[in-house]
Amino acid sequence: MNITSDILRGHTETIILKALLEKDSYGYEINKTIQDKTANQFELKEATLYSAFRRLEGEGYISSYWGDETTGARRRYYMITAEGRNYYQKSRQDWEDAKVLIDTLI
Amino acid sequence: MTRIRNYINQAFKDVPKTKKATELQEELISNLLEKYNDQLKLGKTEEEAYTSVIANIGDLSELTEGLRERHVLSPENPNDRRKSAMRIATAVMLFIMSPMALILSTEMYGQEIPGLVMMFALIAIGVGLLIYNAASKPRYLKEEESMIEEFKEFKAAKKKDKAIYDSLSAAFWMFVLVIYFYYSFTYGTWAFSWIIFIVGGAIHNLIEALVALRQPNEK
Repeated sequence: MNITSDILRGHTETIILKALLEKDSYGYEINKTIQDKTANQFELKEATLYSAFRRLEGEGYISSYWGDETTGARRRYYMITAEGRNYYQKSRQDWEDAKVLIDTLI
Repeated sequence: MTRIRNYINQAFKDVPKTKKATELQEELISNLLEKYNDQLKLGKTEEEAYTSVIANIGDLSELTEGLRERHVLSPENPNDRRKSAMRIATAVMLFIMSPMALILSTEMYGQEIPGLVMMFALIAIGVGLLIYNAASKPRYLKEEESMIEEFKEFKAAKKKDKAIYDSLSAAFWMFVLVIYFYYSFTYGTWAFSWIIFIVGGAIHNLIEALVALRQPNEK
């Protein structure tokens, strides 16, 4: 499990971009999606998640806006940009390449 | 619920209160509270829900560290400063030289009008230079939106206004002085023409008051 989470951590940004490909979302919802997809085996730490948002936003791969919730606290939504989509495709390809390499090595 | 809020506020206690920081804080709190409420709905006790929410936050220091980096005034381009100094020096030189045009034309050709025209032209160029210089100074660059930055920007805008005001005021008094000399020399009215300075002062204050009145109220 430790090795798995190490590998996963290296792909935090791609995981977030993938989640945003489908629809705009906010921190907790993205983490819930990740949990659901992995059958509760994996969840990002908030520190990791929000640091990744800041980095992705800084790179221009995502942008954010505040929702207009009528009840409860405001949510900050993120949406993927065109650059973000390109970057996702590239990361995806990198991962495919790495998978092939690792498979031949171990 | 307040415990989660307090936990995050504690983590942000040493972070400068920039817009970015307060927004991140709000974002974190709202997401964590939603998670906490979901945990309660799943049947956890408040204590269990709090523990599990806090346990998954991880180390926030990377996040808060990133907010601590300060962007201050972008360094002024030394080239710009040199150009600005040149403009000011040229303007001052033009002001000093302007009466010489009048003196020369009166002394050498016995005619005041060409000298006077020349003098006004030199003053006009000088004033133009000063105003251009004040108006073209780079404004405070907004590198990071924060209350402190916005305040600095506000101050910078005020400073620029003041620079334009100073140039215009200097030009005004220069004109008063020119009229004084011209009238006094031409008509020999030295005995009472000094009154122009009192009238000039009154006009100056009047204009100042009118401009102040027209300015939109500041927040």
